[in-house]
Amino acid sequence: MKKCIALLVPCLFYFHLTFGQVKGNNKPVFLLTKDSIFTSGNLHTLAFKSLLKETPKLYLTNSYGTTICPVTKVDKFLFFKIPKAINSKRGLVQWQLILNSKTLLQARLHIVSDTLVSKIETYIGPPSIIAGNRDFSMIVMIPTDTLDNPVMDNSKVVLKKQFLNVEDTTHLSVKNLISYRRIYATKKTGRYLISSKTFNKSSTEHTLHVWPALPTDFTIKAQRNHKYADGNQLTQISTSIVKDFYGNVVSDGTFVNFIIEDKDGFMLSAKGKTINGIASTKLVHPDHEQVWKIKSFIQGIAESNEITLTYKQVVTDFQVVFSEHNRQITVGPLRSFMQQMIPDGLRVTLDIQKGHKTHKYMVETSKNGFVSFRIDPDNYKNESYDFTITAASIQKTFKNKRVW
Amino acid sequence: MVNVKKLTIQSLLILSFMTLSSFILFGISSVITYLNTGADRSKMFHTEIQKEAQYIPKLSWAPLQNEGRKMDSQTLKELEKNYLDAWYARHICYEKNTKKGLENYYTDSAEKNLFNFIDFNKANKIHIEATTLNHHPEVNFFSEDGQLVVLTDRNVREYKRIHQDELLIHETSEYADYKVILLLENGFWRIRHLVKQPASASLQQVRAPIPYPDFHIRGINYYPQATPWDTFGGEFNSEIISNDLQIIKDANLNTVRIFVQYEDFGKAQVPKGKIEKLKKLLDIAEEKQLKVIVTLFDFYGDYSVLDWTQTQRHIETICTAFKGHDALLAWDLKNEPDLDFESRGKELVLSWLKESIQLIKKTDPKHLVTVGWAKIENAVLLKNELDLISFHYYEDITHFETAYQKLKLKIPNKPIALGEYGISSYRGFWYPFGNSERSQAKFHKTMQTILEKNNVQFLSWTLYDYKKIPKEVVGKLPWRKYLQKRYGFIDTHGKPKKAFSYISSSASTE
Repeated sequence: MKKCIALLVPCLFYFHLTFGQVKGNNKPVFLLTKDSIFTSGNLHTLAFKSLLKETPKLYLTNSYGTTICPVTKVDKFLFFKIPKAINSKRGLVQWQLILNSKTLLQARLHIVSDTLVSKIETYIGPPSIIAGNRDFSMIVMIPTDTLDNPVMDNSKVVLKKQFLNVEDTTHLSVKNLISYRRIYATKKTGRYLISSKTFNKSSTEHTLHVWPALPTDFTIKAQRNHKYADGNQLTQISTSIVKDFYGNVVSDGTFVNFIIEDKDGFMLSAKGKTINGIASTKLVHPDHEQVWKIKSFIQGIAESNEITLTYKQVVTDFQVVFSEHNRQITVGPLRSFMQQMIPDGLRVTLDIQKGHKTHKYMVETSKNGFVSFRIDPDNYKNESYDFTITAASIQKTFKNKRVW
Repeated sequence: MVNVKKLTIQSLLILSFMTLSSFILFGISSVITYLNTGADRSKMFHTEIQKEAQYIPKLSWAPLQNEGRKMDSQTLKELEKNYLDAWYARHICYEKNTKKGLENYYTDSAEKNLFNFIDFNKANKIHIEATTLNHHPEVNFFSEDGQLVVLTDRNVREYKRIHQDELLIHETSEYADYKVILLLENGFWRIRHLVKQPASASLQQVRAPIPYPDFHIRGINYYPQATPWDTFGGEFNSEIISNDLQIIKDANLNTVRIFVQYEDFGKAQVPKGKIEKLKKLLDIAEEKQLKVIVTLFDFYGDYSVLDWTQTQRHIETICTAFKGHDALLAWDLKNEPDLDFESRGKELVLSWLKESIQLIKKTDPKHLVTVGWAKIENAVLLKNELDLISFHYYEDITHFETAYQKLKLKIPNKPIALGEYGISSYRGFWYPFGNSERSQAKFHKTMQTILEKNNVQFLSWTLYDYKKIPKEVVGKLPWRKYLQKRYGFIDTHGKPKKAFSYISSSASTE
């Protein structure tokens, strides 16, 4: 209330001073406020002089809505306190002074935004682009004043960019409430740091990534301790550094698919993801003589050369011993390329047949160069069976072996 | 005895155990159900909202020449929908002073600006009924990532009624341009900034009044006998209409007044079939050299401001379809709107009429516009807007001449027509002392003399007696219905009644 009086007193004083000038005006009601353009937040009151007995109402409308203003009547003067909803928003304000549904006076006011910018709303999209000379992103800036009004058209916006060692500055201006600029990709990867400035206000830092473009063809190579098919050692296959057309190392995690075709025409596959451009995978050596043709692909985008790996047979022969009424079968010793016991884990299978029908198929892995199978009396009666034992692709068959 | 006691205890134990378990099970299942509810994937794209458009102001996009990314029609369609919904939500919130529903169409910071108004208006007991009737948006800018749009909506025509303390204190309509920034958030195009600017183009031009043709209406109100108040329904039969119009032609009449029911004609979306039926009728009339007055908005009673965009589309579709039809004499915008003054408010009804007249004139610049006032006292209303003044007269005919002369003095420079008059020949259980066919004939004879003497253009009520009257016409009360059934010149058996001789002045002399 005190504030109101504090505002009203100087206003009244002013209008009394100008009263002499407006005295000659014969209209029953007229506007005393002279200005028609206000900065946002600065339109506090509209003042009228009225000789009417009744008090008219003030209708006000702006960009966001419509209202009726409260009035303070002092003598022949009417003071309408403009609500915040009206005076804080930029744009056209239409007013009408109305009495009994009739319009006595009407006019327009304009509220312009303040040059004191409090925020530069910035939108960068897309947030990352790919290297080369085709892709681009766009930065849109909406500088707003303290009351969240977009600044006036033609306001200057300074856009600054930094990329690798280059810094540059562009002068833009606001049009249609915004200011925008396209940012084109470079041939080198990296990140743009972007900021802007309008009047007093600088924006925060914004980032735009330039990612590598699509990978180009690459090579692969294999690394192994020996070329023996021991079913134990690992062969590592790795790509060369995969790069895009512009020589940028492709993004980490680029998926590489390794396809392996063996001498029997079976296909195997392994997968790897790049780190620093290199993808690699490890494969256990086969347990018998084998030839692998390996080629890798970045699906639908790039491929490598084809390499061929040959693995030599290491287990050439093995012994089979039947004991405990032929119910215990011991396979071994299984020897590797230097006659050493083969490392644990070689796969040995036993196929028990009766009348050309497989009764049971058993799989064991070697331990200390031996594998043993137990023919369980609960499942196998005292009869004759055919036993076939396979290890490292070597097959041995014992026909009509009687167990008891 | 002991056994019974034991059994009771046992069964009670079992029962309480079952009850307890069912409660626990219910509790667990409720928790699981609760955890399983949540964001439905289908909601991401708002596909579940399949409502009929409620807010359909006239909107025409300027040709696309925007800066930035090329605008595609799919995005434009979504943009249009969300943008209009934003206006609709705003109107509803200002009318009810509620903040509900704005969040989908305004960003958080823009919403605050509307909240300021709502808070202020609520505190001051102000509420605003508003609608926008025209939008001419132009896309200025579309960002490359498809997330931000700037558009200029030119010459937005806004109509408002401002109420304070439940009293209408002002009614206004204004034009303005709006610059709008919209952001795509959660699948909605939301308004971020809105800046009002002075309207860029000149205001809507209303056509000059049409000179009245060299034509004197001698006409009749017409419904087919079998389908009163439902001319264009499922039983529409062009043969019957052709025969009826021939009867009218032969009776030396030159005009028929017909009725188009608002809901029957699909409200805002007028089906093609209805237009075709109306065209058929007009074609037949043309063939018979009869003129037609088409009465729109029959049975329409909701004049509320937020419904205007719907009625305007109705007008637009029908008037566009027939703006070139030679059989059409005039558009009768609304039958007896003055009867709705009391229930809907005179100002509201008149505002609706004014807006609608303007739209008819804009859509169809060639044909006359009239409103069939129920009472002759109301015929002076909107006299400047209408091309033809028409009123209905069911009062004592001895006062007709003076009332007509008075009206003629008040509106000396516009053509006037008596749009409806007549008398029922029902005499029976409900009205034992009602008019006979003979007194009906007498009435029409007298009326013809008066009309001829004063050179009045007329349309009588009505060609046929009807067997059934829909309840929407006069309500359910049988005495009203029976009365309404016997206004015709031809009885239910198809035989001309005595009054038929006085259907038109020249007919009586023939």
